[in-house]
Amino acid sequence: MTDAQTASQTEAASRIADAAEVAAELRTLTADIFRDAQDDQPDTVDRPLDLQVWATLEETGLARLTGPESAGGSEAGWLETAAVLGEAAAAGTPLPLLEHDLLAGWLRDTAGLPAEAPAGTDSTGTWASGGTPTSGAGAPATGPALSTAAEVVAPARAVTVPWVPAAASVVVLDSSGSTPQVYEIAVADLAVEEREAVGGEPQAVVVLPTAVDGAVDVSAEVAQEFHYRGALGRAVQIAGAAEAISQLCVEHVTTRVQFGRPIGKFQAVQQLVTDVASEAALTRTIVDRAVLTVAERGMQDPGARFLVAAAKACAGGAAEVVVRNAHQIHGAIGTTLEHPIQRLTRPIVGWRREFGSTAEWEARLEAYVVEEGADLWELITT
Amino acid sequence: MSGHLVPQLVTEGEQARALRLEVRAFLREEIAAGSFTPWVDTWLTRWDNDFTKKLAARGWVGMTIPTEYGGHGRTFLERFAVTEELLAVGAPVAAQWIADRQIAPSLLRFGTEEQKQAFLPKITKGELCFGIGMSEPESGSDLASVQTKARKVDGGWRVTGRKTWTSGGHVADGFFALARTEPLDTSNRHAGLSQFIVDLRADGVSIDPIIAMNGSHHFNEVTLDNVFIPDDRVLGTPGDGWHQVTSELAFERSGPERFLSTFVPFEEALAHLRATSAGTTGTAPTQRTGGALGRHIARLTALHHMSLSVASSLQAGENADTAAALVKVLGTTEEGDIAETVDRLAGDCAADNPRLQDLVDGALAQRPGFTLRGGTNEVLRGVVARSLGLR
Repeated sequence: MTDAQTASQTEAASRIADAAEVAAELRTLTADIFRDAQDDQPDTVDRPLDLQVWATLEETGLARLTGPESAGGSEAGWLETAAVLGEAAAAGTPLPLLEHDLLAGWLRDTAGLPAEAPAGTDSTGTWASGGTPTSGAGAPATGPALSTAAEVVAPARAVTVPWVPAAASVVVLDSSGSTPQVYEIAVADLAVEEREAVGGEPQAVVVLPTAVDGAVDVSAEVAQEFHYRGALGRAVQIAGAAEAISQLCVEHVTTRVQFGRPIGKFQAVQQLVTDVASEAALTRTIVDRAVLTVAERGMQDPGARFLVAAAKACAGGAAEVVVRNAHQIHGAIGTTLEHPIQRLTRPIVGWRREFGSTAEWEARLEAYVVEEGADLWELITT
Repeated sequence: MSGHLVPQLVTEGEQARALRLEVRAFLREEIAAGSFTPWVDTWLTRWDNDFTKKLAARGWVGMTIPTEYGGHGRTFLERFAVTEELLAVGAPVAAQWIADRQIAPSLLRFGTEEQKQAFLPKITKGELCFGIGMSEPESGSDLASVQTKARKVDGGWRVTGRKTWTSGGHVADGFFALARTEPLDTSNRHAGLSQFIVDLRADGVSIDPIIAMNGSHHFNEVTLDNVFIPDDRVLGTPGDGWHQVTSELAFERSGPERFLSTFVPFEEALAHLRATSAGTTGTAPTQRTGGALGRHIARLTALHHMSLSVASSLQAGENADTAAALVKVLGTTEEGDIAETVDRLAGDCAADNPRLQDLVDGALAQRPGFTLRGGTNEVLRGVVARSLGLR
């Protein structure tokens, strides 16, 4: 190895170490922000954007954590953003961090689109047309410049897009033609059919235009990276929520008394709880590994992509055990709107199906080996 | 809370990586030369003294034993890389497994200087093989109930009892017998137990095979009839046996043998799928399987990293008992599930691919043992539950 290689490796290692330190600080900082916010939140089926929290994130540069400084970002990497994304998920605070920053912001910057989101031709303004972007004293009178992102693969095909009712614009990856393109469109210019995600977050079914004038060509790699980013983001969220669920399960079984003792004293209950903890731990391991590898080598690295696929597949599978057991453990009270467990178990079910279902990522992993002839053992051990 | 169940994530260093590739290349050559045929669960099912000595000659046995005791003074992460490579190709490693995994660490921690000098160099050379002497006919999961007794006599102890599930007992040189040296105190069942280093060829030792349901012979019942153990073959402190035995559990439970037992049939099934899909038109292999094998790829990858971080934790001298229990519960379930998935997809393939059929049959025969040995998964969940504060 040359001195130059050694020097660049040392530099990379110290960059990662710095990022890990910042990530740890962000985890503490955001945990406080999210906890305070949680206490004020009513238990509702729909979980609109908490404007106060979002405003705080914008003020502190966390809303556009990975963006370039020129676009108002903080130039952070995956380690830092995974810390914030995971804490939000663990707190049960629905936030469009993945959509706004890691997808829309990234796609806009990568394609070189203007930093200013299009205002829309419909001057009535629609970011608030979703009806209920909410709540909280001191919420800003006008909406934040929130963006979301989506991919369209065929003309006129409707897609479900997270956070549209709260967003001003959608950055669209148009994969319908021979060359992938990116454009940004105001929500005001779209016909949207609003709905709620299974976790209560606002989303909408939208028909996005294809072959739009002024759309910018991007490489196939960028188009692919979109999926992997989305999948890793969702896996990070699932890992955070799964750990929080595990904690709630432990709290519940050590305090809930039946037959004269805490139900956690019963072996049958212990087995349910330990399976939740085990699956959460397995997910945590693979998700952290994927995040670290992406931070070190970038999302274009084949090994990093394999780990992202493994992380999303693993998180999706684990979510089944975590959610099922958590509700079994919590009994009837856990099925109610007033119980905090639903703030964690409902979103997980939505996340695991987005940016590629569990089965799709499992098939992708299998295809690496069966169709593309990759050496499985080498994939696992690098 | 559960965030602390898994030790800090680690990245395999360059040295361990280079070693891993060296072992991999060696094993490829050995397989090509017909030195062994890859098989299932080979740390139990394939005992080959010559192969163990061949590995020892390359420095891959007794790796973590310090050089002053004839070992190689390498890290647990390096040992992890080597053992993983051996298991991934189903190499015959049973002869060294117990000695390398838990006997050596126990001796290093509790043995006398003389004991270390007597045993560790030979273990490193692959010349001394050990079994386990813990379970008894009436003491399975409830290990503290062992009834084997040791009575103090002039110059040593007389040990009497029956030990069971001693894998390789018929070919091993010795084992550590856990025996009661003081009467049972029902208020402190873990007190009064001691460990003895038993020569399995000594007078009074008889070994009877326990034949598995598929006819294979790996397990044995070892009867100790008033066997004399000199004082210098007591391990550690008399009465401290429980602490000594349980302090090695993280070594025993966290390794790659807890998730790789069916890796050979798994790879064979993937190769079969690849071969049979070549030439067929219209149906992608993953459409036929529904991606069912991908689930195992994801979880095996996660388990590799989890087990690696436990190895790193052991290197640092940290307590990794809970994480080790987690690896074992998740890993042994996974390796068993792989056997089921492969069987489900391959079906009756004896005519088309007899090799795959043999491997699947072998995996299904071994499968029940995965989640039993080294602490049943039910007991291990209890360990995890305790760490969560439930009991």
